[in-house]
Amino acid sequence: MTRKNLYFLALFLGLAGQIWIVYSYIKLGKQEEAFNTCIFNRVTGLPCPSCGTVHSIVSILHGEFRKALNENPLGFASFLMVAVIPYWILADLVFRKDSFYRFYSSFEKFLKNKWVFSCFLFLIFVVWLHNIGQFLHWI
Amino acid sequence: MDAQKADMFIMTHAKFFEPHLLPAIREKLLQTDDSKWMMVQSITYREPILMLIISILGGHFGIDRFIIGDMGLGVAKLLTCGGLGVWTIVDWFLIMGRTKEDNFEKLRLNLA
Repeated sequence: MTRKNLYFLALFLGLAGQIWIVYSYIKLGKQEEAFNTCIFNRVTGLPCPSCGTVHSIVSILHGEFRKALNENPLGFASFLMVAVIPYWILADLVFRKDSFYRFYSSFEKFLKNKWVFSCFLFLIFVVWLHNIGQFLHWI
Repeated sequence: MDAQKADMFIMTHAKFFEPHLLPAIREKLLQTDDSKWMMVQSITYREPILMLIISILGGHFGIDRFIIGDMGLGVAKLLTCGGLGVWTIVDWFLIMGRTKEDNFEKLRLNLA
């Protein structure tokens, strides 16, 4: 992927993510449920590994870290991505650097290692089991 | 490489590449040394239709992006519920082109 494509996509996703979080923050503040966008959840009725991420991010914004961890541990990673990446890219564009592109390339290389990727998949699987367990009131 | 081999390659592998890239691939093959013929034949290309099926079934989890090798985008797709469902649907239309692009890149690297 070229630098230009990556920056455009990541900036778009980051800003869209921020808008979605603000919308969910307001909705959840009024004790209303945000619109369910998860296709997997709508089709199967079961949560996907990243279901509950927005709830988790809203809890982080309220400073309730334990609650956030319980809702979905991936919320911390998503929060970092949404909070950091758009501004990192903007800084790169302003100062005409490519530090984010280099970081992304090395991250991809790191994740292509089969052991690293296996560990990553295992972690996602554990989070998914945790989500399903919560949904079925096992936890 | 002689024209007959290049044409044979184009005929048997056309479905793996974007149609507008085929003349460039043929030209590149004609300029390539004959000794690379076996290597060019042995490269395994990803089937665009298969990737579309994978994208429809597992695109929500970013599996299509992981298979292509876009690990970063795969992680982003996985963590965002398939980009709130929108990215999943957009990728159903993009993934075949991306697979063909990836196949071309693979061939280009092997011919370099």
